[in-house]
Parts: sequence; structure tokens; C-alpha cells
Amino acid sequence: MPTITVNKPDFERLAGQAYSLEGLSAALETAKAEIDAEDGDTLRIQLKDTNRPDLWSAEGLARLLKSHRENIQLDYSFFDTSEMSQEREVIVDAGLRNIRPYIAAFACEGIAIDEAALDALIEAQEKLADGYGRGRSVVAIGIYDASDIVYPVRYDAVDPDATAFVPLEFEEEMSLRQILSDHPTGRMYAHLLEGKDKFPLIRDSRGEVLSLPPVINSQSLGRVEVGDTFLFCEATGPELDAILLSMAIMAVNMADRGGRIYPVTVRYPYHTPRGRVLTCPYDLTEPVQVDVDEIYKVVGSHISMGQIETALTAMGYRDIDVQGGRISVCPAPYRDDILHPVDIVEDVVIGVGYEAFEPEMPRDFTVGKAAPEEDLADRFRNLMVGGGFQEVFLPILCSQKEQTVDMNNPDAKIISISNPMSENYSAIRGSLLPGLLKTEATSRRALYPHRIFEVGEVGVLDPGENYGTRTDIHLCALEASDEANLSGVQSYLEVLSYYFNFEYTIAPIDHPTFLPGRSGEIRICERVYGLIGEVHPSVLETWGINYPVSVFEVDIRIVSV
Amino acid sequence: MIDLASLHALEIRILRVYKNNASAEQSDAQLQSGAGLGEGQVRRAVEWLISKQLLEVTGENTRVTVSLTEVGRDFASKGATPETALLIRASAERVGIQDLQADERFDRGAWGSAFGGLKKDGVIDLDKGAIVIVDAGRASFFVDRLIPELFAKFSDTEMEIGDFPGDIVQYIQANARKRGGGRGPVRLDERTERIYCLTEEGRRVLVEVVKANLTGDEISRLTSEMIQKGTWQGASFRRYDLSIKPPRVLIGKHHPYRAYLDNVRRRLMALGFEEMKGSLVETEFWNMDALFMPQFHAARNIHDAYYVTEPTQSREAEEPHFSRVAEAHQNGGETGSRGWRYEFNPAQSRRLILRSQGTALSGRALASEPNIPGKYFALARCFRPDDVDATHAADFFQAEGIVLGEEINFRSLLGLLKLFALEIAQADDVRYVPDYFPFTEPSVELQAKHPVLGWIELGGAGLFRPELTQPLGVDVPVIAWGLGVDRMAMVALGINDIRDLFSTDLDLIRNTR
Repeated sequence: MPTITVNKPDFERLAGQAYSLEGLSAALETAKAEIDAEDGDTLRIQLKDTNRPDLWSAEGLARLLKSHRENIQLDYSFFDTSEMSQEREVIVDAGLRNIRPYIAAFACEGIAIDEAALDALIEAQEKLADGYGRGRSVVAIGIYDASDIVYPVRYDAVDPDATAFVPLEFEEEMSLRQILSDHPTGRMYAHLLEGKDKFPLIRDSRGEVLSLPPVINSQSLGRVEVGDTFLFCEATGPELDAILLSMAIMAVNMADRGGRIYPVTVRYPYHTPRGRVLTCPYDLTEPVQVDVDEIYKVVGSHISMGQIETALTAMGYRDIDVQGGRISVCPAPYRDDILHPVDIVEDVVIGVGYEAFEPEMPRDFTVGKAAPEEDLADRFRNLMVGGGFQEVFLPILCSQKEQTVDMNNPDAKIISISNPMSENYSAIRGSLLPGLLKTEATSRRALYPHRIFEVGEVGVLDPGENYGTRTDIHLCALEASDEANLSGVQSYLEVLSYYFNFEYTIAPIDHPTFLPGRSGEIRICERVYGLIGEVHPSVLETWGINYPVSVFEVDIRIVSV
Repeated sequence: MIDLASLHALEIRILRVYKNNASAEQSDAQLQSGAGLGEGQVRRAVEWLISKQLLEVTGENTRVTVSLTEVGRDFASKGATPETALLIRASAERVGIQDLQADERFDRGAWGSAFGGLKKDGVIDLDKGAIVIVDAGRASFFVDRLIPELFAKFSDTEMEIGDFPGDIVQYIQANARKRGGGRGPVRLDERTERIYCLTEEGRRVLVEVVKANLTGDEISRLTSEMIQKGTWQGASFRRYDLSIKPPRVLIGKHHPYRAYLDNVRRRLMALGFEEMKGSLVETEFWNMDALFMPQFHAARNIHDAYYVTEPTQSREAEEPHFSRVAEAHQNGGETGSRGWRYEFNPAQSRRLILRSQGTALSGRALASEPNIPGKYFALARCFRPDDVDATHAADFFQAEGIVLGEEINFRSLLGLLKLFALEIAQADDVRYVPDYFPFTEPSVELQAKHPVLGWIELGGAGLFRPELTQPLGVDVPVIAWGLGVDRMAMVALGINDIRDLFSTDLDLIRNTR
């Protein structure tokens, strides 16, 4: 979930209203956002909707609050200009086709850049590029001081060794390849250009470098500072619609701060999904149709057409047209999250307000029942509790070492994790016993005797299965005391065998976890269901356990045969 | 004053020894005989009374006691010592030493040493092989006095030396072996004994004991023998001191967190939900793809799920759902959606991970011809890479489920959530807040008012997107819901650190109510 930092006075200026903290919390619910932390004027806001990048900024949240509060349609007429811009053009080099093929841009004049505005613009740019743009691989955004840019701007594929400029935060000219190896930001994003013969470069008509996308801006043109009023903004990437949406969002954000948006026309030497000549900001949205009956069906009650229209307007929809029970609407030009008519229905429901709908209790009759294996597990648990055993309940995620080496059984096969956070949680338990020994090791001060058990899921490797693994339910019972021995713990296995009516045998085996001659496999007709034994003192020593320990562990399916 | 019920029967019997003279001094032996108790019983009762400050030690005596050895008890039971028997026979008939040794009442050595001893002391002599009594006075001691005055006199195991007449005392001293016995018939023991007086409080308590007619003969334990023989009738049973609490015993019991989950599970079943189970190891297909989470979704990168080392992929994709889901992702298929518009990667779909959300089980249930109408739930262990701390456990539980039916809609979704709040969290003040899940639209967060914590999140729910249900073969609306059971359990159990839900501290587990 994206989290953004917002300056509260700046936010209130944008939203056109001052909010108490509680009032703001309540208002943000409409945006599926909540205040995570606050420190004076600085708020950390968490956005739950991962499909609404237009809301990942102070401007975007303020926009939704404002339109929802005032039921007004905000005016972004610059999207309607279908004319091409003659003065502001970007010319694309044919060599980019297989490197980073698309670019879109716009210019903005008359915007007041104070400190809060600058922070907010950079925040929006970063959330779009890192979150929505997946670490700049899909979208990278640059913002520049436009007062010194001479059009047409060129987007070229260049030789990374033969081309050099001064990158942001540096004072010396570096080749593009050097930037990737020596500049901290360059190193961070170098993987995005790995294996490319040529690198993308944005320059103005004089050859002055704007940036090396998707890595870094230049120190000369690629700096925006407090007091700037004239900006140039571009996005590059491999998916045209993604960069067009990003530019639409940046444009409305700047317009919300009082900027006048000027279109920029991009000329491609190759075909794009939206033609060879494209003017940005570009309105991607298309009208979407939804049946009023569909709305009623999803909502479960009748809503007046007036309510529906008001709600849609409040949520930023345009061109609302109702004909014969069918509504046609256009989403706001900065939204690209409407996949299905249900998305519109949800906005209607949010626009009307959840509190307006009367909850209806479920009426369908259905039969409740437990999963058979959980039912069986419960019967095992109850018998063990009746036998005086204390139940324990432990994590399934565990240490690989504890399951193998610490059991004196380094070759035990278990399901391990390829990307663990730490050794402590690097595998799925294949046996419950290590968890019970861990309990013993941390409970040396608890009054003896200790009789503990767990019934729970374990994961085992099974090449016969489609997933190569299986999830079983085991019971493990452990007795620790000076009197603990195999026959003592086996008498509880006898209890299970009597009440569940299964006939088992114990086949003596030498198992490294147990004392030689004092362990065996629990079998029914040659099939192994578990182990019983007295834990080897060397294992007890490994775990730091001071009392003799006897255990058995058995698959509860021993009953179903 | 001390509660009379707290007095043990032995204590009462000791106190009552002082009944006729509350200021008297009583020695250990006097207490034993006065109370009719054994030495050990008196010792214990006296210690208790001293610790209750009802009795105090006022002095010490040295006591010499006489007891019979095994040999002596043999004499007592035969009513004769070898000397007695020898003298009686010698006075009645002519006997020689050989005749005596043929008499098996005593062994040859005993007859021999009796003969030798009496001869040496000048009580008897030999006359042509026959024993003759030469000192009738001494002989009479053995014949007439020794048995009744000494051996037959022991009703108890010990007697005081002062209880015996002078001639017997002489005999005792001549024949006793001090400490350790040997073959002599009697033993002399010398011991120090204490003298006790009642304290002032003790005297007051005695008055109350007498007034309450407590004798200490009250029976402490009802036995099966008493019931079978009827001896309980007329017996008086000791009253217990019910203010004294015995120690708590160790019992077998369910784990507190698991018991909490059991309760949630029972309630869900009572509401008509059927339980779902599934594998801990899942494919990305069921865990995410089937839930219409695009493969580029932010929650699908390497940091948000645990991947299995070996095997890394399922052997085969699960058709027919696989192709239909892939199509829904790419262009919406026949779901009325435009889809996510990207190239679906089948290899990624088959990657094996640890289940990261319980909704995986709901997707599987949809694909397995569920009942319509139907309600399903799971208490699913889920795993996500996170640094383990007070709010993040290594693995956690999600209570998850679905409700299918023709009549399902947004309002019945709100109703279901209200039912959960009431039945599962016992909260009747709830509110609904817009929420986001990649697989539901609309989506709701359920909040309930807690008396102390204020509004807390109980869970989330929504209507499954058509892009999810239709490829899995379901064409009625479906509610998907989830409850944060870990958090609810922490509130209910008063736990602040989520790791304590899975504690390995046996004391903590045993002592949690």
C-alpha cells in the first residue's frame, strides 16, 4: 500500500477547507485512505486502493475531497485540445523502438512553487514512477525548469560511452556509462538499461541534456527549485498508456496548483498503439455503460436517478447520459481503473455513502459443518487434554536447522523457503517435535512433570503430488520428567488406539533423534504413521533440556484406515 | 482468637490433656499417655501448637525408659525366661541339663547360659547330675516376680524405669544392653524430654474447645471400611477449616489462542458455514491469478510471498480454470471486463509459494462446484515475509470465507458483517468504511466499537469481481469476507505482543485463563 507525506496547510489550501484531524480522517474514508501518523503539520497517509495512482498525492486526495464535498465537476479543459502544438514538440529517434519506445510531455506555466508544492510534486512523481511505474521500469518521470528549454526537444538513442553530461548533484561531466557505475542514483537504476547498446537521452534543440531516462536528470536543466513558475514534465516507458496516464495525473496536479497546462506534441518515426503523432495531456478514458438494473442488483435496493447522477459527479465522472435504463459515463481523465461496470457501481455506492444502505440479514438456509480432518483433529485434542496434557500452539514457519541439525538428523528432508527473511523462519515444519522441544527448552522453570502436545499442520515433500508437497495433520505428545520413558508415553498411544479402534505395531528402528534401542516406527500393515521414542541425551543437550523426554508423533490419518 | 476449625484433631487432644489443670506442666511422655497418642503424633502436634503460640516449652527432663527387645518379647509371650522355666522344673522333678536342652521352648544356648548364670549366682547347684535349688529366695524372684512385674507388664512399647520395683530394676540394669540391644531381653534408653505449659492464649482456646465439646476423636477420613462395616454410625467427623486452600493441580487443557479460534469456528458453523481446508503450499495461480490479481500487482513481488526452494513449480497447470483465468487477465474474456491488458505468464502462475492469503481457499471452493446458496469459511494459516516483532508474527491466521447466492448484494454484505460483529466479536455498534481489495468491488471495511479502544477494525469484505467468479464457473454473486482473528484474539486475551499468541512458555500457557 502506498504511503504519502502531506503538508496539512498545503493540503487544506488545495482542498479549499480546513480540517480537524478527526474530520480529515472521516473525509479520507471516501478515498480509501487513512492517516497513519501525524507530526505537527506533517501527515503520513496510507492509500489502500492500489489501483488509483491519481490519489497518491496531496493534490489527488484534496481533489476527491473537494469534488465529493461540493458535488462539483472539476474543469480540466486542457484535455479537450485536440490540436497539435506547433511550438512545443518532442522528436523521437527511431533507435528507441527496442530500448524505451514511448515518451509523453507537457508544459506548465504560472504555477507557484513553494517548498510544500515542490515536496508534493516530487512525492507524486516518485509514487507514480516507483509504485505505479514499478521501480521506473514501466514509467519514469522528469520535471524541469522550462524557462531555459529550446524546442523541439529530442528523445534520442545514443552511444553511452560517447555521450556525457553533468548529472544531478554532481559537478563534473560523466559519460552515460560512468553515471550508471559511479553515481548513487545511477547504480540504483542501472539494471533497467542492462544489455542495451544505446541509452535513451532527452536533449533540447541546442543539445543541452534534460535527462538520461529512466535514471537521472541533468544538473543544468533537470533541477526544479522553489520560486520556479514554468515547468516541463515528461514521462518515458515501454507501455504507452501507462505514461499517458502518469502525465495526465501530473498535469491535473499542477493545474490544481494554479498552473496553466500547455500541450506538447510527440512525433514518432514508428507506429504506436495511438498513432505516430500524439499530443499530451491525453485523455485515455472511454465512455462506459452500465445498466441501472445492474446497479440495483448489486446494491440490493432502488436508488433514484438523481442520487446516481449526484454520486457519479461527486466521484469525478463526466458526460453522464441516461437512456432507457442505461447510463453512459466517462471517468475522470486521470483515472484508468474502470475495468468493468461494477467499478462504476462501487463509485455510486461510495458517492451515495455506505451509511445510506440498510444492512439486510442473510436469509438463505445453509448447513454448517467442519472439515472432516479438523473434526478428527479435535477428537485427538480432546483425548489428549483428558489425558492431562497441556496443549501448545506453535508457528508452522520455522528454522530449517531446528528441524534437521538440532534433531541430530541433518539429512531430514523438509520444505524450505528460497527467500527467507532469516534462518529462524526458513522452512515449513515437517514435524511438530522440534516445536515441543523448543517449548521444553524455554519452560525449565515450570513445575514438572511436563505433559504437552500439539495437533497441527505440517508440510511434507511428496513427489507424487502436483505441487510436490502435501499438508498433513500430526499429533505430537511429549512427556518430560525424571520418570518419563517410552512405555509411559506409549500408554497414551494405547488410549488413542483403544478409543479410535486402530491396531498398530511398533517396529524397532535406530533413529538419530532417539536413544538406540528405544525408538520405533508406529505402523499399521507395514505403512508408517509415526515415531515413538526416548529423545537422545545429545539432542536434549543441544536444546538445553535437563529432564528425560519421551515422545510420540503420529499422522492423524492413522484413524481412517 | 484462633478459629477452632483450624485446629487439628491431634492438637485438640493435646490441649485436652490440660483440661483439669490448665496451668500444669506436661512432659512429652505425659502428653503421650494423657492424650493416648504416639510419640510422633505428639511431636507433630506440639510443634503446630507452639507455632500457633498456644503452647510453650518451660523446661527439660532426662528420662530413662525400658523397652523389651525381641528376646524379651519372646519371654513375654512364653510367660517365662529360661531361668524361670529351669527353676520351675527343677523344683518339681529331677532334671539334668541334658533334659532341659531337650525342651524346645528355648534353644540349647539359652538353657546353657541360664543354668550357668544361676549356678554362678548360687541359686542352684548340681547333685549327681540333677539340678537342686539352693537359694529359695532368689529362685522365687525368678519364678514369681520376674514375669508379672516385668515382661508381662508391657502394654506399651516403653515404660519408665521408675515404674518398676527395686529388685526388677536391678535385674533390668544387669540384663539390659543400652542402645542397640544385642541379645539381652530388655533395653534401656536415656532421652531428654521437654516440659510444656499452655500459653495464655492456649488456655483461652482450651476453654473454647471444652465448651464446643471438641474431643479430637472426630474422624478425619471417611474410609470404605467404615462404610462397609457401618462404623461411621455414631462417629463424629472432624470439621474442616475451609479457609485453607490446597495447591492448584496441573491439568490438561486447551491452548488459550487455539481455544479462542475453536470458539470462532463453532460460531461460524452455527451460522451455517462449511469449513474449507487446503495445502500450505500454493501456486501463484490459486493464491493470486485466480483472484484476479494481475501478475504485475505490487503485492506480488518477491518481498510479499515466500517461495518454495524445491520444487519451484507445480507439474501442470490446472485446466479448465487456468485458461479462463488467463483470458480474464488479458482481455476480460467473457466477463464483461476489459481485463488488465497485459501478457499473462503461465510459468509465473505455476510457481509454488506458501499461502499468503486465506482467499486462496475461497477461490478453490468456487472452482469446486460449491453449493448455491452456500456459505464457506476457513481458519487459514498464512505466511508473508515480514520482520517478526510485537505486531508481526511469523505466520498468522485469517478467518476467511464466501457466501454465494442469487440474492446476494451490497446490503446483504453489510448484513453479514453486522452478524459477524454481533455473533463473533459480541459488538453491536458497527460502521462500514470503503475499502480496497484487488478481488472485490464494492469493498467494505468493518469497524466495531470497543469499550476501551474505540473503533477497531474487525475485518473486510466485498463482492467478488465478475472477472474472478465467472472464469471459476460461478455465475451468482459472491460475498468474500475476512476477519482479523489474530487481532481479535489479542484484544480478547489481553495480549499486547502478537508473538505471545504462539508462546513457548509453558508457565504462561498453563496460567492463561
